[in-house]
Amino acid sequence: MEETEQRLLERARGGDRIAYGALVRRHQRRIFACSVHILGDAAEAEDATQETFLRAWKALARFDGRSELSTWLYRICINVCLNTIRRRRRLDPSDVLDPSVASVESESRAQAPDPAVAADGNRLFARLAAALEELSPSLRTTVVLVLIQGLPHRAAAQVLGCPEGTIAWRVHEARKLLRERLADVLHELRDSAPGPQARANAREAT
Amino acid sequence: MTRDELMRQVSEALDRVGSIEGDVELLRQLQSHPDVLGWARDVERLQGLLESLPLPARTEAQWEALALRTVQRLGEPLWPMKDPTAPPQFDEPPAPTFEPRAAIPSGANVERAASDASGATDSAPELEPIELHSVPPPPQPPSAPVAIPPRRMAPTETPVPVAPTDERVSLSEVLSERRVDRPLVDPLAGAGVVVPGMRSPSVAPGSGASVGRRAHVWWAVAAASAIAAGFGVAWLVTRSDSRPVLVEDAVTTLPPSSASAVSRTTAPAPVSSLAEREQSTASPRTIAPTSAVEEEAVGGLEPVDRASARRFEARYDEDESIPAAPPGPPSAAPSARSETLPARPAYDELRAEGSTVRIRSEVASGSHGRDEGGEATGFERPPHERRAAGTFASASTSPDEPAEVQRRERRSPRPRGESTRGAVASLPDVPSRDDVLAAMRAVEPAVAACRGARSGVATVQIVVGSSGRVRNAVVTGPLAGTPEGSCVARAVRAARFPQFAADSFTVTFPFRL
Repeated sequence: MEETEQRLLERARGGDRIAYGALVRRHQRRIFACSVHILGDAAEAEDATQETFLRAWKALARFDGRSELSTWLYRICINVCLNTIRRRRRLDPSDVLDPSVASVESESRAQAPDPAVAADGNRLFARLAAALEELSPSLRTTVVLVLIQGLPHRAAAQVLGCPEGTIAWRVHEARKLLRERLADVLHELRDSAPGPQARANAREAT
Repeated sequence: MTRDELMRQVSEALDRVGSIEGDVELLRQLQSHPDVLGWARDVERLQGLLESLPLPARTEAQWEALALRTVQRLGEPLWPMKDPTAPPQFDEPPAPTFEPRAAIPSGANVERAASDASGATDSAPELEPIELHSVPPPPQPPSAPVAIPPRRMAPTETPVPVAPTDERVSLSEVLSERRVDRPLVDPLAGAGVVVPGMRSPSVAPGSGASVGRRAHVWWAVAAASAIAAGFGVAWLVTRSDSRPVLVEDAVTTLPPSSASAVSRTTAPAPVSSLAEREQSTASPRTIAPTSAVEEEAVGGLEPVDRASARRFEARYDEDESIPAAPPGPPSAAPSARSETLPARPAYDELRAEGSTVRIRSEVASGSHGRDEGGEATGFERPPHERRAAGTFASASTSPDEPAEVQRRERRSPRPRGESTRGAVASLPDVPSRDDVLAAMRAVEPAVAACRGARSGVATVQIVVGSSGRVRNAVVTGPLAGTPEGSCVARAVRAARFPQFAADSFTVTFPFRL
């Protein structure tokens, strides 16, 4: 696998677009997932995904292979997403809809067969998405990388260019803030939600 | 172990193994802190929610289409951007850092957390956080006096007015003291010169660089005022053939404390009243008593000597392209100036392109009927010139015209900020047309990026402060109140103009989206 990616990289550095296309197909899902959780909007995330790979193509000669390609792509993706957020701030906030809520709602509706379950899921994930949106960009980015994407602290520190201790502090702060803002939702889940072991089993099953 | 420390250990356990179940020691400690245990369970559930946060559903065909579009766009130019491979910048203050739990002795966690909160993240030895428990604070006797650097003047002392030209304070001293070290005591206060509105950095709340910067600004203002006042007094004395009346006139233009200082040190003889002063000038004319209305009309004006009034008049005539008044009574020319003024020629071209320019300044005593709102029609006269026109116009109706005009001329308004004009003499009154166009060109890309569903002309009324920063930008026209209009206003607020002398400057500029 690594050798294949290395070969693809060498060919892409030589200008082989087909090889680069293979790399795009290999990494675009995780880049899109990172983008959509940071930006909260599927359309913007798709644009950010494309821009990430376009900027990576132009900077491919500077990738020296000391880190994983995915780590390098994550860093470009986060820079692109932060640019998108800065651009978004220039608009009138009252005119900007909360796209994350809409996208999560539509997605939950599409997956849940039971309307009651879908409604609960919509409300739950809408609250979660709104709480994520309220986090500062640094905390939100760290939560997306560590808690959602599952990157280890070392990899997240490489992506964000900060010490691992900073990653740990951000994760801890984000947990405190999210728990504070979602206290009522989490309180409702205390009796209904499955325990950690059941959740782990469900995770393995999926 | 404190609650915060326990919460942090819960977070670390979640990061390590995804659950707190495997950490027996932690669970045992949590039994004695049920609130933290509840917090830990909530955070576990929260983590589960985050892991199951859904993504928008996409089919394989959609993924393939996305990859194909990406590859097809590889040759396209991109908007300029800082190095995308550099570490992200969040425009936030630096975050504290945690160190691995094993590397920290359990007893030092609280102290470490305290040092973390201070933002010490650098590993350089000189920036290592001090372990508080190993460095006890030095014992201090309860009656030990607080070490406060002695001030040259106690805050409760009544300042003794001394002229700014006193030997104890000179510009070189001020500058050298400011350059060598950041002063805690303003030397002007030590010398007894009190600048109104100046707050001594030694008693101001806060410390550090902000106080130093604030002090530097006040120092610059105080030094410029003192120098200008000194030079102005000297110049007035030499121009007035040793008439003490001018000295006292100058005194009235200074702040109260400085004025008393100047009068005490430079006036050769005290002069008690206006009538006595006029008699001492050996003028053949007598001054008629001033009515209350006339006093009100000139009461807000600052006096200046006759030569200054004539020079001001000449500059005014030259600027506004009004023919010089024929020789005769001094009231003839001021009457002509009270008429409507033509627009300044330098902005004709700009207005011809659709932009209107005007100056709007704060006038404490009113605008003498000039329009202050609505669409700008041209270049308006600065407020001191407006006041001059009003004063001279009313002077022509005085029954005792020559003496009254002479007195009014002596009291004719000094342009605002005259005392500091020496420091900003090189600044233009307002930005030139090229300056305006350059500032607008600089924000043109940002404005163009605001293009959205609506299009049209966004006319922006921009109020620029004398520092060159935009104070306000309001979009009018069809795009007013739309997201595109708001975006344009935000973009224009980032424009920077060169500094100028007037208080503010208003320009109306159209952008086509």
